[in-house]
Amino acid sequence: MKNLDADFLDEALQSDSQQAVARWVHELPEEGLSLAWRSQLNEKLLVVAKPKPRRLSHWILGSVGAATVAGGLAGIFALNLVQTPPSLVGNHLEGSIMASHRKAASMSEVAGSGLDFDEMVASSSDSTSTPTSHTSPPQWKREDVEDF
Amino acid sequence: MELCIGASRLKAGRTHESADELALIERCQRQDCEAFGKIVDSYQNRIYGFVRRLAPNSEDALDITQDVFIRAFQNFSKFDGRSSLRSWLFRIAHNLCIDRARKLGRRVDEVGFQDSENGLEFEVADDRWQADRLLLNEEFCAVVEAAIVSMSEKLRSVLILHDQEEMAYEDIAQAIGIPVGTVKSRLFLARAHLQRAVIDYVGLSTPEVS
Repeated sequence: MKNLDADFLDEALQSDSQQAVARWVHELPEEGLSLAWRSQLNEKLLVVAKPKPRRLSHWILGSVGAATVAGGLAGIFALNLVQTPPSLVGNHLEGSIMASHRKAASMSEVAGSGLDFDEMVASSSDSTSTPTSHTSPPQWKREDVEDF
Repeated sequence: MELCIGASRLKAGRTHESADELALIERCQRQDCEAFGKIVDSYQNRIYGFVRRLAPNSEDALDITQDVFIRAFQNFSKFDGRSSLRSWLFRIAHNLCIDRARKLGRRVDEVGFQDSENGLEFEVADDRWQADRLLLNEEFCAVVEAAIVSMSEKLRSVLILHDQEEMAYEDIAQAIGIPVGTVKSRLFLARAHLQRAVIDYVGLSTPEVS
């Protein structure tokens, strides 16, 4: 077996027979690709294409626009906050206190204030001051009836 | 920043790409579809010519060729210009062909330099062997194509890249990821394999002689 070192290889690759094979391979006809194949590739490339990076001017305009919108929304929100009654704006505790107060006030208007605590104590301690209207006989005379 | 580094490397590191192609490469690194389309125009037939001889069938070859360009488009930012664009594209093509072969369970044959069915005698000493007088007609092309297909993928890829694409040994070494010496030995074996196939053809039929 021949010693196939680098020098031998270089020499052998330049031999006529090897060069003839190289020519055959080089002259083999080339197959083209169809337009359908190419358009299919273009579709695939469009799918994988990343969005283009935005320019600096786009970033600036975008930021200013976003700030304007955010400011407008904040202003609208603040106006709504001022116009809304406190009972609707506050938290649940405040709302429940107000509702409880209103309920008590309306009940007082319908039923009156009644006896306060001191009055109740004083009346209950005086057992002889029971109203006489329930136990005493009628304070009218027979003549009063006959006049009718 | 990465783009600038890549672009400077491109300008400093390569001589085989034209200025137009360098400009195209820089645009492709910015994901410019139009520029990439021109790259595809330049290379699609050559890549397909390589892939169709390594792929199991023509449909797979068409798919793989598309995949080559999609991979290239997606990874153009990683192309640093240390190899030529052509070498880079063929490396992608070669790797995809190897991947496809592995998926199909085909073995990528190892080829030793001593590989020979009958103690291969590389010098062809046959009176009928008059290579220069053989005409490359349709029938003969079919024989050559069949011989190329019948050799191992490792020999085939080197043969096509060198003898059809006229790539330098160093570029092939970069594209396939093997030493230059291995490129040469595989090329030699591939051509010897093809010689034997043609001798068999000449022995069975009467070749056209100019």
